Amino acid sequence: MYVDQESIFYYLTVMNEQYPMPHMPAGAREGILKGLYKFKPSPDTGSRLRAQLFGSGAILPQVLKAQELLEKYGVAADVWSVPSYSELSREAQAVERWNLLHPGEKPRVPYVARCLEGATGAFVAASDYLKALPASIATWVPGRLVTLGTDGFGRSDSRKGLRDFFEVDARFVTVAALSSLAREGQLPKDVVQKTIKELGINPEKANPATS
Amino acid sequence: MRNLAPRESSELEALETREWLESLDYVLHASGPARVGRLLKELSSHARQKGVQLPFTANTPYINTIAPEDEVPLPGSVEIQRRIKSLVRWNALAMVVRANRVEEGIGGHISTYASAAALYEVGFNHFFRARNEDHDGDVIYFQGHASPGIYARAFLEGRLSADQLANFRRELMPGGGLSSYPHPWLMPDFWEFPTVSMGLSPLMAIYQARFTRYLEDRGLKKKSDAKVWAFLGDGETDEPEALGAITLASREKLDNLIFVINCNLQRLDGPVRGNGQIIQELEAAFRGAGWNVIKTIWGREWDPLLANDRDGLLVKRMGEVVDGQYQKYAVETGAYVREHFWGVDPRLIEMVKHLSDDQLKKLSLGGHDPQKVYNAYRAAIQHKGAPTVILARTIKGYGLGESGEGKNITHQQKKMNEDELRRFRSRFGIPVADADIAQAPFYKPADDSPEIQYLRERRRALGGYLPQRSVTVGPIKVGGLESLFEEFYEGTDGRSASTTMVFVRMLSKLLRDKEIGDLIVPIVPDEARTFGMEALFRQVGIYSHVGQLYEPVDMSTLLYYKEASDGQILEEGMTEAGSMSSFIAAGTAYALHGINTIPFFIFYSMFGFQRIGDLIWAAADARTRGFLIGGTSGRTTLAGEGLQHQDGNSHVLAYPVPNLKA
Repeated sequence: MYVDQESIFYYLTVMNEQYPMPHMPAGAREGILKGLYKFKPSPDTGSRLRAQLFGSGAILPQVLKAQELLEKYGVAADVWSVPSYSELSREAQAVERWNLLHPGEKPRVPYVARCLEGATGAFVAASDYLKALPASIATWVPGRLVTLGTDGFGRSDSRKGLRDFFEVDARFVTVAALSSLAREGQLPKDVVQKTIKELGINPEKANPATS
Repeated sequence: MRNLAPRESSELEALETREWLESLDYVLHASGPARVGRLLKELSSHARQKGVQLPFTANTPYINTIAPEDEVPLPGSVEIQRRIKSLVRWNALAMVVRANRVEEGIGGHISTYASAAALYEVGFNHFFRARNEDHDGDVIYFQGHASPGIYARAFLEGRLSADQLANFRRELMPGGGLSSYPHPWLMPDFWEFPTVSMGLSPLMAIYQARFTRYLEDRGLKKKSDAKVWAFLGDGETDEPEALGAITLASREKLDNLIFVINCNLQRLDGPVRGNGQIIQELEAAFRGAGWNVIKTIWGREWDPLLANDRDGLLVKRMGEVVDGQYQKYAVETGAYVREHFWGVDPRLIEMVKHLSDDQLKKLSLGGHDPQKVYNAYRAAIQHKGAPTVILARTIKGYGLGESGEGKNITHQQKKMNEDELRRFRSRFGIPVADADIAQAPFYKPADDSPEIQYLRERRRALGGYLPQRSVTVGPIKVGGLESLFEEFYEGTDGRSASTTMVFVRMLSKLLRDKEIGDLIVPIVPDEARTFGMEALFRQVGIYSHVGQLYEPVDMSTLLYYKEASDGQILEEGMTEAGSMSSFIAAGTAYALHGINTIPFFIFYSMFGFQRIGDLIWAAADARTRGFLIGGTSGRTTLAGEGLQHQDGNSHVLAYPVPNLKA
């Protein structure tokens, strides 16, 4: 901005939840600036059932917890950190625009699509913001993207209570991944139902977006 | 006491009043205004002691603040200045009329500039100094709806071509056009400030004036007598942002700030205060807030009438007529004005019996009289210790004749037929032939004409042309930054921390950086403790022009509340709008002052985009640089605070701002 003298400015959000801050993964610099990088791949490379989990900010620890939970259900999940959905979305839009106007040339591939090339299984994005934010990259995700977010009016309560209410904690990420796999026929439906019960989720709870 | 007939009683009262006034005049003559002031204070105090209830009023009579005997003549040739103003008027009008012929509904405004022409021309010819090597230059917030007039002047100055004028509001035409309003994003070499979200420009101007002081007090810039001028509409002051920060300007004694409010008494839909007087309302608000208020209501033709107003009847009449009625006078004949304004009292009728109906109709208003405007500006730049507001009364659509002056539809007017154009041309003496009038051609006199010579000479004397936006400063040096960030790449090694804490640590290190530390401008709206930033109070100090005049209650602690005249933090108090205005001032200083200040505005994330999204949009347009930091973000991460505080929105609201990276 001040070195290249660009007419831009930045909006960064910071949170007040305390947890150990990880070191910057090797080679993540470009991805951090562009808005997406693989934060923690699943150690299990052989599993048939796979998931790609996206998280940012204080919800990222929830997604990491879900990665562990999913392991118990035999799902190997990779965790992606998403510093900026809007940067990903804008870059992809710009690339698509170029492709639209240059039909005779080799189509370019958006950054987000390049990152996720070959990724398989369930795709779940959990955000502390509206679902519309992660949904802004859905077009370039190579599978159906399930978005969890905090649409609706807030409540006074604890973080644990709020994440249950808004359905964005590790349990909901887990169920969302399993449900997505079941939808694809990779997993029997009753596994999902059993998990909902096991994780203590009330399926008849009020919809946070409208309550 | 015997009962008097009402008529007798009123005559006695008039006699008594006259005696008192004559006594006062005697004292004024013999001992001067200061003595009169003391005497009035004594009288008022005495009356109070005797049980007389004097209601508070912040108003002065509905006449000019500057007495005619205190005026100086307008410098330069009055006639040449009038001709230049007429040429600007014509080209501004032609620009809008032509644009709407080519493209029905393209819009544009004739009437705002028409009412403000003298306000701008006096400024351009005598006051507005451009930025150059010798002077910082004055900072001018042009009223957005007057943009056709500003373009028309730049055309006469030779800075814009006739083709550009022809493409007003047609920016997508080959070769480019002129933007509807001031937009630095669209015309980065011309406009400096976006001013058409009504109410934001007065707010931004106040914080601009304060930020200039901040730069001077911190030694980042030489002290200067440059002024910040903001040109506003009277209707615009209904926006809460417009008046919301005026006490900051007086508290900070910003005598480098001048508001000029074009009081044409009309807003888009009708009168601003049909049943009241907007000038008096604004006078009370600004005087109450501690501003120097200069009312420029009446033109010179009124001076002799007021000089003969020995019983105060005319002043009383001026003060009792409401704006809706004044608007009616503006569209009516002289005979109507004689009957309805003057006709309420035979003594008033007597005062104007020597004037024809036509002369009565043409008694001009202060905002259209260059000498009155010149003297108001002159008084404003000389005033010390407080900001000044000039309340200049004008007629909306002045000069548009019957088709547009003072009508309720005037704001929307953008078309004129041939007859109307011809009349306008003749009234202002524009040398366009009858045969050409239908085309509404732009007109620019030859380079060696007295008009162009005068205009150029004046701009040379005032340092150059404006508005003009230019970036002269180079990039910042960031040699040491990579090592500064190294510790953060390592993480916290298992210890718990919040991203807020990490950010504050980063900011603290940046403030210590040898190369850019001085350029960092932390801005907080009374939330520093919320974000754990209080250590910075001590580290770099809170900016206060006067320093710290008290012993802070926590002086004995390590991290006490330190205010200093070279303090670096802008602790704005609970105003996100004010903080954002500081952010814009600091983030555009690279262009305005050639100083690469880097603002960090740290706010409660829910009260950022949601509350002041329009200012953020203006910041983007103004090519502001810097970092907006939304704290306690995340709807489920901010526990306990509930519905109004928990932010799950701001990243979605940030998405539409094209040059904002979120």
